[in-house]
Amino acid sequence: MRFRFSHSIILIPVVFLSFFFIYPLASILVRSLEGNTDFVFVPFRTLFVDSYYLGRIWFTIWQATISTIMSVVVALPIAYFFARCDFPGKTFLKALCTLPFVMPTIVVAMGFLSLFGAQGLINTLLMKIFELDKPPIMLSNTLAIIIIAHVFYNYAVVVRIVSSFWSSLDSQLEDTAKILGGSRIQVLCRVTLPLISPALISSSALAFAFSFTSLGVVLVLGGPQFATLEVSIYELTTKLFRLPLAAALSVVQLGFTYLVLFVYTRYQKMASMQLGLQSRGERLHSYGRPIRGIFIVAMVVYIFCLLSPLGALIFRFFAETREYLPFLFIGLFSDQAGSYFYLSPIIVIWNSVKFALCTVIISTIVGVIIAYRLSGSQGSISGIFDSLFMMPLGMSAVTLGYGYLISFNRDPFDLRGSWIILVIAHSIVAYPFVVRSVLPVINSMDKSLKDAAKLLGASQSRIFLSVELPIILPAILVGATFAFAVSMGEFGSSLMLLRPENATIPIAIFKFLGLPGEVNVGRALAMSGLLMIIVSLSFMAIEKFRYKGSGGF
Amino acid sequence: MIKIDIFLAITLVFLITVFACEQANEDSTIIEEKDPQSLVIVVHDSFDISKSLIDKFEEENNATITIVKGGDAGEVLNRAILERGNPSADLLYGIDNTYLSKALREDLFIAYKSPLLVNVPNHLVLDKTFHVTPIDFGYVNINYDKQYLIDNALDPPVLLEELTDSKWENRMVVENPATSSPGLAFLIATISYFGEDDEYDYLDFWEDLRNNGVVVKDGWSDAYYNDFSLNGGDRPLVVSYATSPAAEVYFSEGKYTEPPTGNLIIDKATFQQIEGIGILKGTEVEKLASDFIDFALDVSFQEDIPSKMFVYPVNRRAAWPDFFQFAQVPKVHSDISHEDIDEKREDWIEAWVKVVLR
Amino acid sequence: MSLLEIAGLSKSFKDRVAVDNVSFSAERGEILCLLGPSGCGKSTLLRMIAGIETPDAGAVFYNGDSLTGVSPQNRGFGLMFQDLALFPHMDVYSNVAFGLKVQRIDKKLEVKRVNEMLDLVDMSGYESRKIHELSGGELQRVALARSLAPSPKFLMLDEPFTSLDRTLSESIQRQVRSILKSIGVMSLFVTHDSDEAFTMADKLLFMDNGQVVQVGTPEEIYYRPGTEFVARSLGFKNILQGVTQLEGGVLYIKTEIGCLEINAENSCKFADGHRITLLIDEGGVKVNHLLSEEVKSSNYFHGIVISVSFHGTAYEINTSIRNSSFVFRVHVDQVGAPISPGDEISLIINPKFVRVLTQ
Repeated sequence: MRFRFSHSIILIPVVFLSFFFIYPLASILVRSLEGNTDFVFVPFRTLFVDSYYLGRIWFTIWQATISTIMSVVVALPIAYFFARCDFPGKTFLKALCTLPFVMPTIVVAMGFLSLFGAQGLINTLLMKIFELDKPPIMLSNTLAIIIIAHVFYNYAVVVRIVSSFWSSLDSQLEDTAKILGGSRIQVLCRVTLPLISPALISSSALAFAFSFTSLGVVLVLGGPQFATLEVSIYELTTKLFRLPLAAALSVVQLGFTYLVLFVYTRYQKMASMQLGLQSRGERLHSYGRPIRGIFIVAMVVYIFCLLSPLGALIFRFFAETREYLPFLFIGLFSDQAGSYFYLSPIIVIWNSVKFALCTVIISTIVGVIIAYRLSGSQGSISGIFDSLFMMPLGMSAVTLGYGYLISFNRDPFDLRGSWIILVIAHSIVAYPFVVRSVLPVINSMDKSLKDAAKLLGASQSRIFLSVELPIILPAILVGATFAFAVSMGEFGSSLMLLRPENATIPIAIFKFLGLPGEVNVGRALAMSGLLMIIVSLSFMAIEKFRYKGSGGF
Repeated sequence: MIKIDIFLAITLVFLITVFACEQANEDSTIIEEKDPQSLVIVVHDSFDISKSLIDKFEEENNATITIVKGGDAGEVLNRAILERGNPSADLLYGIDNTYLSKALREDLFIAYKSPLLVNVPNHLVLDKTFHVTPIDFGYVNINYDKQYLIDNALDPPVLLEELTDSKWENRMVVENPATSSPGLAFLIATISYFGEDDEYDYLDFWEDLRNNGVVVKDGWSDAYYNDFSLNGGDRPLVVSYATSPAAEVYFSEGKYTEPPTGNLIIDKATFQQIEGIGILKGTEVEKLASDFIDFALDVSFQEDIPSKMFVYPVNRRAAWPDFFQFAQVPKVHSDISHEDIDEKREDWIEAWVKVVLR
Repeated sequence: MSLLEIAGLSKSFKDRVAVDNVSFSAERGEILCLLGPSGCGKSTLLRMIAGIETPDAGAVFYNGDSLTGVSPQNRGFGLMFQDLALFPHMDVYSNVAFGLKVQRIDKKLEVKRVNEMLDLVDMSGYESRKIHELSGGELQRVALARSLAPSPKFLMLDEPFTSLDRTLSESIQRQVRSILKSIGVMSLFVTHDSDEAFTMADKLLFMDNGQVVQVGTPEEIYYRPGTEFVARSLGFKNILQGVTQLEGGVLYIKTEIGCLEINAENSCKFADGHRITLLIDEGGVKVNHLLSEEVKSSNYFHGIVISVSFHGTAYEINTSIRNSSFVFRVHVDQVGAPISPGDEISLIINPKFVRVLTQ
């Protein structure tokens, strides 16, 4: 009897995905095409004849491409910095770096406004210095701000995945290249970048998929003149209720996402190599003390510049609310108006953290099994599966939410109103992060380690637990960080699936911003601040665990 | 290996905590219940009401109320259509006059004529078949930033045509009618104001507006909090509600005694939005649902509406709170019927999108 | 001044001193060997010489010029790491050609040079092999070819042979030495294996606790190990402490096993009552079964055999003298009757084979 642990365990994610991703998706498709079978191809024809939608497709692709390239360029120095430098406060800085990822778009938009807006800090400053009557920088509602916002959201993905991979890469390879006469640039281009390319490809695939399906950023910062495919789908589904066309667009979007991910995974396969990755901690490195000091200071400044929209937000919060700050918090923690929907921030935070942790657990299990299984398979089939498993990235949370509403509304699976369904939705969105973080590491792991363990008589599961897991643990934790972040910041499906009593922090923020008045802005900003604090603390906790878990010196 | 054990242990402890909490919640609700009837109400996101009122209704009717938020007015309706026959709720609140015809056409509701409708002015009762009962109404119009206008020596416009003048260049933000209900409301107001087939029709106006640098946002929050000059943006005119200035006073913790914003009340250029409630077909508690409609039309509920949702109560007996003195009621609002809106909405939006966005 | 001069290099990490004021020099074509246990600072020293680690103090001079502030790529040195650090994303050719490509030399010259180098290490025909397809010895040779290709002025090799098995290691050592000698490149090996050091080196450096404790030719060091540490590193086992005692021009050393007479050449160096460390060469002893009549000779000791092992031409006898353990090698011819554990034996130590450690 040859019962293979690794072969049967793949059923867990397969069943999970069939039930919670493919089935709801199919339900929407069926529902949208109900009753008129000859109607199936009409939406597609509309799509490819209408130059508007062709324009949307083209715009979506190229803005995502630019956003991805920019994110990688911006993130690389930080990835290097975190991978190769050790200094006090690093954990904190890393946690800060990942903050943008969880911030609701409207809050980020307010941050950008506080910084670059007509009355923002930069313009006010420039106008004062140069005595201008008009604000010199006008970024609002431009393409530039969409790209900047995408970079702001996605750079952390690249930083986290690449730096985790980079730090476990043998630095002697780079040293050797230097000694052989390579200049810094040559070493970077010929040795370092090819070596970290698995992580680079992985993270940029995520960044691309995210920019490709970006909804909030485009809606809030760009305005409707910059509609992406996702924006069109959102409008068609929720507002115009033209489901057949929306479904057709979804199919196109999924198709494109699939295509891109397929190319990526193929390339990733080619780039993967055994690197003898070690579960070692970061290395102290190579510069003399003063140069290192300058570098660290420069990088910290750089990171703070990247985070400045959030800083501007905090500044704005204190500037605007100083007159009634105490009232603000009293208003947050007790409800004078006696609203039916009032929830104490403590409950809201508990909800958010609870959903996020459950999401982390589910998506980590699903993601690690998928990554583990994908790493073992060979040939073109694996590429197909790899990209299939990434499909949720190309899926809008709104559509998924709709799918759940119409799929799970009958016994025995009437999950409407249950928070479990939300955790599942979050896990569907989050597990690709775990896969993308873990896969490059598994692929680059020295296969002889596993063989050695096998020869020593270890079972498959034992090998996984005692040999492979410790090596991939840092990568799993990176994935878990993002699963946590995805769940903490997710809004679209939360709004659709959650009962008011299960409100999360982003939903609370939106609720405040749905009404006019300064106090509401203040409360929204206060909740955003709470979100930042909770998330930073959680990331630092994960990071602490990672340090211990990954051994290191 | 020890680290992994710790990880598993933490996970386990966490899961136990979560389920224990859930269990505790459920236990407490079970003890309270004496076989009460359950009433589920789907509402749009802006719905809010005092908890004491809901508690009172639950107590008087031996019912438990669950209120579910389901997106904005359009989303709530779409959701009900998707769930037709097996609704997750018994009542649907938030059908406004832009969606009324569609809702009636989809045949989602059971008719109910509340005796309390006698207190509601006749012009607010749009559905004469009583499938949808009006609860509140409001107006969509243009708000302006008083301080900005003073600083830039501008007077509030008195005609919509003025907005295409160069002095208002790059000074207005509107919402996308394809995605936002105030956006659609304002579009309808401009149709009412300029007409569809006149020499200078609403599309000519919008084209001029576009050439004058109007910015379009997808939602009210984005427009109000990111582009309106009051909140750090660069535009002093925003499409909002007639009650917004009043809300600015209410939500300022005493900082303002006068609103910082003003309403542009231009005849026919404001849109009256009437929101109603309906009993969903397929409910098992029709009686309870109709009791709730009576309750919602009752004075105590109606008087709670202004300070919670910042709209006007339909019951003429309900008193308004003080700060509603800043929420002027336009005398002549748009005159497009809900049947027309339903019939032409998509054409209007599409025409608008072509002129303004593409 | 020598071609390469290392002057007072120091480096510490946090609270640990890794390299402490190290100085030595090397001449053109010379092969140096740096011996020392793991963690003694060898690798850090190499990294500083290569320029990838910045020293806290001290400098490296090549041809009289200080290399302080000169980046690794401009030093023209080579460093071959212990785990070779071959680029896994390149084939053999690209690995070897790397140092040439980054100098942007002519493509024809590059191909010629790479072929020469692969020829030199006997790896011709492996150009397009992937790194993970090579065996341990092949990897070693590719790494060497890569290090040599850009003609380094000074080549450092960090424990290059430890991952190979003994037989392979020995043959590679000889090959590498002859390759290095044939090109005449000045080089420095790091190892903790004294046999390897003796095979490779023109000059030995001993390093302990971040400091260089002795420098010299293999012969000098073998016959005059400076410290107990060096002696032990060289494989000497019979080391003991003692106090000098001059008696009528003859130098005796009082030790825990008794009084030892040592070679006259040392006698003039020491005053009476000096504490010194001695080592007794494994071969410097005559062994007999305990005779019934006591021969009162100097350097006569009495021991109990703990174990005996046979090594072809000699027996290695582990014996206990006054509870201190010693290991001696005795030629088979010199042992009359078989010696077995538990036997009591007499040992006569030849003063010529007793060395005083110089420091």
